[in-house]
Amino acid sequence: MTRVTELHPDTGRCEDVAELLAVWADEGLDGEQDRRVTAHVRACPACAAQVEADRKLLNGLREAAPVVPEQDERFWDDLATSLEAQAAVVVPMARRPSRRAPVFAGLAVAAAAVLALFALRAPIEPSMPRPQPAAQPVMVADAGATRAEDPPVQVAQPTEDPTELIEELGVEEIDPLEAIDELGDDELEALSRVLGEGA
Amino acid sequence: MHAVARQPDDTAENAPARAEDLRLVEQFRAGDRRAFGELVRRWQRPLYGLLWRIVRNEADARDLVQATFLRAWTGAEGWRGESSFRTWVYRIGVNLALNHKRDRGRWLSAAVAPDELPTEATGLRRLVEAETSQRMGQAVETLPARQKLVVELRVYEGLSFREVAEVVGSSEDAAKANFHHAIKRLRDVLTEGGEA
Repeated sequence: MTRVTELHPDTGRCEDVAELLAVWADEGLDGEQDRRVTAHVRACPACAAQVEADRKLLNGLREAAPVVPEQDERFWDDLATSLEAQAAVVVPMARRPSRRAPVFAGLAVAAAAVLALFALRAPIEPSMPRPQPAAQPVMVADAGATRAEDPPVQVAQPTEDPTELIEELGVEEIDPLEAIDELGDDELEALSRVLGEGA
Repeated sequence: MHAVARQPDDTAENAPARAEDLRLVEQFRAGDRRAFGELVRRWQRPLYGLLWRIVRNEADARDLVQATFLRAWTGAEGWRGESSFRTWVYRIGVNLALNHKRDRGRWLSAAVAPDELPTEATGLRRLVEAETSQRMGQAVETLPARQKLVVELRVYEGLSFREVAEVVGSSEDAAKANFHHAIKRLRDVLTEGGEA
């Protein structure tokens, strides 16, 4: 309900504060906005009545708030304990302490380069089918180039950004250096042999 | 049934809690896993309440709390302290809960289920209260998704408009505008239905 009135020249028109009344009624304004609405409501019986109605409604909403089922202490302890156990497994990559000597850094960089090469050359098979953009009808301005019922031609982009692809697939980005860091000694020796043979 | 306590907008009153969250996050970033456990214990209850109100299922809400904290655990580096830890976790949780509801395709009504209504002669006052609560809940369910979320965060969770904006991912003014339109719509819906 928006009212246009000139009854309150010192405190602004009703329509100037109309969208702030409910927020003011819920004590959500501060600063200049609060001062402006306060002055207007004190001078305008209609807006004061609106505020009163909003307060009544807000009180009713709070009284009628869905009651969250109460849980006992064991529920919360179990939840926290379970989370701590899971978090111990799902360690953020950035937090993993380095257990390898710096001598492995060069090896790690070389392995990362090999992995990156394979990643760029191998066909990517996402676990979920990638969404295809729906055929868009051609705008009038483009009608001369393509008919509206023809789907747009999909052109493969040879320089597709792997970062965007990872984000699109929802795959966590893996730091190759950290991944190398997680390898066992036997795996590192095997990797060294592979890299040596490839050199 | 009692009213939900609303927290004041004065964020200075929340400053100690925010400072404690920041201290714990810094400890976690330094490698102290127990700090993360402490953060879980500080916020798991309000987060559970928020997520339960969205999904209306205890098991789902519990799973979503776990998923939220695990997401926060693996992404803690992404929290820069610009928002409070609480609103950051709330935002993760709300996104997960809304996705969960979308995937399940079930938008449960907030209305009181028939078997939750008084079945015995519990007095006219309680019946009127139950009916009013039911109609209020149904009215909230008619709101557009963003307005509904703003109302839930503000009215049920007691967040300030700044915090609501942080969770929803909008400006504070946009959160207030959504609140205004939500209240106007609720007023219209309830008036049409006979609620003064």
